[in-house]
Amino acid sequence: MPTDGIDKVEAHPHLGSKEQAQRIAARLDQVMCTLEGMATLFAQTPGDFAVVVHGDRDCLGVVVQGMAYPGTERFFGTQLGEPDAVAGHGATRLGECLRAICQHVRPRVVFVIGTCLSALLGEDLEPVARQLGRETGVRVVALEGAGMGFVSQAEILDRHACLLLDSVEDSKREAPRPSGQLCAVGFDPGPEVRRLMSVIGAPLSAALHVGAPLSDWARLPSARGHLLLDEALYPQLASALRERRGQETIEAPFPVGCGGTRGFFDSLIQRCGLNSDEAGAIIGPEEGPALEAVEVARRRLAGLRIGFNLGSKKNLDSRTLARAGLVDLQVFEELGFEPVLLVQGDDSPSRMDALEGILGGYGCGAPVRVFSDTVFFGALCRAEGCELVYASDHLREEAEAAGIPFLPIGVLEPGWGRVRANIGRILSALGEAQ
Amino acid sequence: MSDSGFPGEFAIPPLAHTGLFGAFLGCHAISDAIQVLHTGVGCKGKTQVHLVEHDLGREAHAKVGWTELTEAEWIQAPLVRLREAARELCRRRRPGGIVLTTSTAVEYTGVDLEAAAEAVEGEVGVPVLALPGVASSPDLYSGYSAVVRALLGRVDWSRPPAEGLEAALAGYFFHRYEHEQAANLAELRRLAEGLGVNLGPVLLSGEPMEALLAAHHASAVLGLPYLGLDDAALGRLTMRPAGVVGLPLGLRATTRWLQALGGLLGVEPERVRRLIEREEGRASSRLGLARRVLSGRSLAIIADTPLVAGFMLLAQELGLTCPLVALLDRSLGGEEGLRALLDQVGARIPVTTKVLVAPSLLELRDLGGPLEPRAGAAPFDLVVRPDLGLAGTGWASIPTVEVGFPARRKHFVFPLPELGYAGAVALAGRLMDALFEAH
Repeated sequence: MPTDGIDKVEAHPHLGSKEQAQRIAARLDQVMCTLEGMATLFAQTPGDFAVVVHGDRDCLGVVVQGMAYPGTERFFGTQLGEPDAVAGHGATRLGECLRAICQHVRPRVVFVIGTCLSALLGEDLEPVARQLGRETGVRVVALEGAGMGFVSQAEILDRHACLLLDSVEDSKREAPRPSGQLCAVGFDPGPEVRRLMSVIGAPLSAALHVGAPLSDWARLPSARGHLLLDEALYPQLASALRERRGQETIEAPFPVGCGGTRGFFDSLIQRCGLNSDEAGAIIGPEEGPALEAVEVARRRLAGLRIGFNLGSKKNLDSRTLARAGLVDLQVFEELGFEPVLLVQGDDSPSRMDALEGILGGYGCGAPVRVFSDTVFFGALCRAEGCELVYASDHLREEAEAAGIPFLPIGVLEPGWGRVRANIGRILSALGEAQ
Repeated sequence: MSDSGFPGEFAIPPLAHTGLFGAFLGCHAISDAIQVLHTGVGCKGKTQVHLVEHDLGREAHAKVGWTELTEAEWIQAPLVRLREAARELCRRRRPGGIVLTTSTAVEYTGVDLEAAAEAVEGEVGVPVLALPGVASSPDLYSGYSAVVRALLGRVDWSRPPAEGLEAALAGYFFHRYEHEQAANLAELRRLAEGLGVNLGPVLLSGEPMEALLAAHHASAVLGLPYLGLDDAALGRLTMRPAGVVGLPLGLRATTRWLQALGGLLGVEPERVRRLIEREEGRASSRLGLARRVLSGRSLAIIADTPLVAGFMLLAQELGLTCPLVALLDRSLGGEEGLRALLDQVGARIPVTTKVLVAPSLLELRDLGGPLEPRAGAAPFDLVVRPDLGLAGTGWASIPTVEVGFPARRKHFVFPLPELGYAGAVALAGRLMDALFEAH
């Protein structure tokens, strides 16, 4: 069934295991092209680098500019016209562009991203990048970015992280001495959790979320270990850290709500070899009031039906993408909500099987309902009797038109100290005075 | 990060969009149209995402669908996928019309978009506007104007106009469903009514496809520069008395707009004169107050050419100087076009004004002065501009009136116009607010 681009499934060259194949077939991850994803991530990463979009000028149109998007001036384009394409002058233009950047801008690294046009012309970017690197002494890294196919946000996050790791480690030098601190890859656990991590003896060196500066990524090679919300999001990075650098990766749930925060610290205590009694004595007093707040809220909220949206978000945020998008579900479950999963995409038998497998693998047995197009979202919420919807922000109009209270994905804050505020947001969405 | 002399041909412009986004913007401005992108998955990122923070009035995600063309389909039978997708999107979203576009790379393979549009229209039964070449067109404005011109081309101008004085307005740049747009349209309608003229369809203005295709009711067509046509071409296309004038921004430009409208429809000159006298008199006394504060101050203007022309005229009316103007578009005439727009009201580019045509983002960033200038040392007292990639430069510390596209920080929940006599007064107020940093 043709769609607005949400339900085609293709084989992925890098993933092979049954679980990975299932993950792709479940398609809980809005797709994008490598150029769009990388441009979005690079534009939000402060640091001394340049990005060249190698293709037609139209492809610079994926770069979102503005005061809230610092760093887009570091973007350049070969801006190939039809004569360049026909005459095969792409590589020459790329060389000229790179020389100009290395001469006038002098960044530490230049990332070259290919496009559909450069792929159509069959251009090999690597030799040009190598030659310019040798010629100018500036590191030039090339990657293909053609959008004719399925590229998941997870894969883009992983590739972006690997590129930044490569750009901050100097292979000629001895590996930096481990700092004894941890890096959170792809997320920020928030100020309260950071503070508690320090107190229990597992301090955080850097939170490498979208928008973290390159200088923070430079702490990655020297960290004692790396916290990941879901290793499946970062298979290549995790492998590089473990196998190339001998560093530890620690999978931990996102510390949101009582259960998530407890799960996060339990993973930390166990994997970092911390004294559980001592750590427990520190975190216990923080947890107590949050548990009480949840207990009080349950009296009002238990039994309400929540529509929990999966597969609509396109924000390159690992918190949203981790664990098939289920990270925040436990917040609602611990408050006694009865969830129904509202999944965007097709309902082909193969996809439904894959969905069941993936969600079951994360211990989720909530009923699944599928909507093929965003315009059907409101009707589905109503048909399912949802009393609250937790969904991608662009679905707000559909939900509200159907008369269903709405909370946007990502609004829940991490840590025990924010449990009460999160409950307040939920009650406010339900129209209740605080 | 940079030194001067970087080749502009490789640098990113402050508005990097091409016509593909402009066509989407045009589609967004037709309330019931959708855009079908015959492209790979990545091109969606060139459309709706740019409106997420700009248009708080209306979600744009359901205004676009794409064929998600794969390499194999691209090679084998690209139009099969297109027809399937268009049919399915129509079934789901029931649009009043489709804007059909493709990417530069797909276009280079020789896809016949117009033939595809004809086939799709036969299948789905709503107008399908094919816009070949739009992705490689110079800027967003060229894509927007392509939508307007394609629509004008679909109106059955052989049908007789309605009785009474009715005009269509073509080339209004409607970029969001917020209240400054509603206020602009209300002000223009109010002024037209002052001449006894009913302002019919405005292309584009958030009206549905069917209403726009009824533009043949108009007995004259007035164009704005975003249309990309001259008087003669507009007249040939519409078979009506037609003229193209500058944006009615500021007193003199609004007066010129009214004169052109009245002239096209044969409104008695005395009636036009009386209306102008009354409206100008009312607005002038209010602008006098603003002049006391703004006169002698310097204003940088960074915008598309028609908007720059309008603001230059308003600046003169307020006694502001314009040491720098930067034209962000690549399709609206450049410096020559700016001169022509000013000339419509007998104004000129002051010799002290530096005109930058299609500057790169790097170039523009360098002109804002130091990030934290010492008191009184900023290069300009005020700037009028959209939200561009100017963070971390001196521009961030210059009092700013955010206008045009994109405007992510300025939104309108109250109907405050920018056009017409009322718009001139409202903009004078915004300039004062920016200067005093009190909003």
